[in-house]
Amino acid sequence: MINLSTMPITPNHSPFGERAFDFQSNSALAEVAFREDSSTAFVDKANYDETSTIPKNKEVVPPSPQLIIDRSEDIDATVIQLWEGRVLEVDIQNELMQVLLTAKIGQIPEHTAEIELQWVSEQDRDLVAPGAVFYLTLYKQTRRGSIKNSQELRFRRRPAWTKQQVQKIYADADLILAKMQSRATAE
Amino acid sequence: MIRTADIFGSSVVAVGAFNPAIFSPDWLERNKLIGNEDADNAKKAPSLIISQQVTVFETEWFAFQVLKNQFSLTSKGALTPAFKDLAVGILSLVPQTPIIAIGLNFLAHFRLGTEAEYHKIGDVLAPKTIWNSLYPGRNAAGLANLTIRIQDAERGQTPRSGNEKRITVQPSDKVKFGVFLTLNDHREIIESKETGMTTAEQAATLVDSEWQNSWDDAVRVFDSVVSQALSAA
Repeated sequence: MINLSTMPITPNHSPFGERAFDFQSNSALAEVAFREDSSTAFVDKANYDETSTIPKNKEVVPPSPQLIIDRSEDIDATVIQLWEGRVLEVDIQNELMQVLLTAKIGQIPEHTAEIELQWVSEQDRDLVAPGAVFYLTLYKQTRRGSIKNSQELRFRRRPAWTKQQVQKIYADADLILAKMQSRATAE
Repeated sequence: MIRTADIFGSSVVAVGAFNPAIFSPDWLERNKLIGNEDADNAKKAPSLIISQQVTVFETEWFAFQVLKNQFSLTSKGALTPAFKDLAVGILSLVPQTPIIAIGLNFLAHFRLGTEAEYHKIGDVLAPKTIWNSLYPGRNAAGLANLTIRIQDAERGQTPRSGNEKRITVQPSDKVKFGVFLTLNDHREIIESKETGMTTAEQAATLVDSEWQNSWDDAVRVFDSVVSQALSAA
C-alpha cells in the first residue's frame, strides 16, 4: 500500500504512528513504525498518547528512519511584521542599500528606505545587487519561558534556470512568434 | 477580539520516490539555495545524516529530512517566504523525481488568558455532556485531539479530488493554558501530459503559487477557531 502521508515523521508525534520498538541501538537509523495510511495532518507537539492502549487503524510499514533532530525548541517564533524588499541601489562606499519595502501583513503603503549593509549576513553579501529580493521580518520569539522581539533580513535564493526551462521559454517564444507572423498584413 | 498565535511555523512535505543521498548541505550550497554559513552549520550539527536511506540536517532556519518515500522541510524560528523559496528551489532541482502528493502544513500555539478560557475552547469544540454522563463524579473528560477533515465534495458525495484539508486542535505543550492547532493542506499531484510538466515540476509550481494562500488560510482558520470558541455563549 502506498503511504500518502504528507506529514513529517518525527519522534513524539502521534498521528504518524507510535514508536513500536527500536531494533537498533541508534534510534535514528531505523525503526518499525505504524502509520495511519491516509493521515496527512501535521503535528509538532508532544505525543500525548504515546502510552495509549487504544487500538488504531494502522498498517505496519517497513523499517523507516526517524528524525533525530530535537525539534521541541525549533518552532518558537511568530511573525509580527513581514516586508518583502527589493534592492533599488547599492552604495558600496557608504555601506548602504536603497530599497523598496512592501508590507506582507496589513494595509501599509509601499515605501523606500535605506538599510545599512551591516544588517546583511556575510553569506548573503554577494546577492546584494539592484533587483535582488529579500525578506525583512520582525518577530516575537518564545524560548524557555522568555519572550524577545527580534528582526531578520534574509535574501531570496532561487535556483538557476535549468536547460529544460530555457528550452521551454524558447519554445513558447517560437509559438508566439509563429502566431504573430501568421496574421494577415494590410496591403 | 482577534487572537494571534504566539508561535507559528510551517512544513512542506512531499510523498514520492526520492534519492536521499543527493540532498546534502553541499548540494544545496552548490546550487545557491543556501549560503556557505548555513551549509557549514548544517555540516557541523550533530543531527547530520547523509545516506542512501535517509538524509537529515538542519540550519538555524530550517530542518530537512529526506527518506526514500518522503521529503520534509520544516521551518525554524521566524517563518518567512524564504522558506517557501527554499522548498520550491529544492523541488525544482530534481525535476525527474516522481511525486504523488504535497502537504502544505502550518501550526500555531495560542496562549489563552486563563485556565477557564483554555477549558472553554475544549468544551465548545467537544462538548462533554455525553462523557460526563458516562463518567460522572471524580472523572474529568478533556479534549486531547480533534481533527476536522475538509474534502472537495458535498456531504455524502464522492470527493472530486484527493485534495483535502485537515485541521487539528490539541492542548499546547509549549505555552501554559495554550491551544495547539495545525492545518494540513494536502494536494494530490497527478501526472499530466497537458501541462508538459513532470510531477516534481508540478509540485514546485504548486508550492510556489499556493503556499502563501495556505498560510493565509491557516491564519484565518486558527484565529477564527480560537476567537469563535471563546466568544461562544
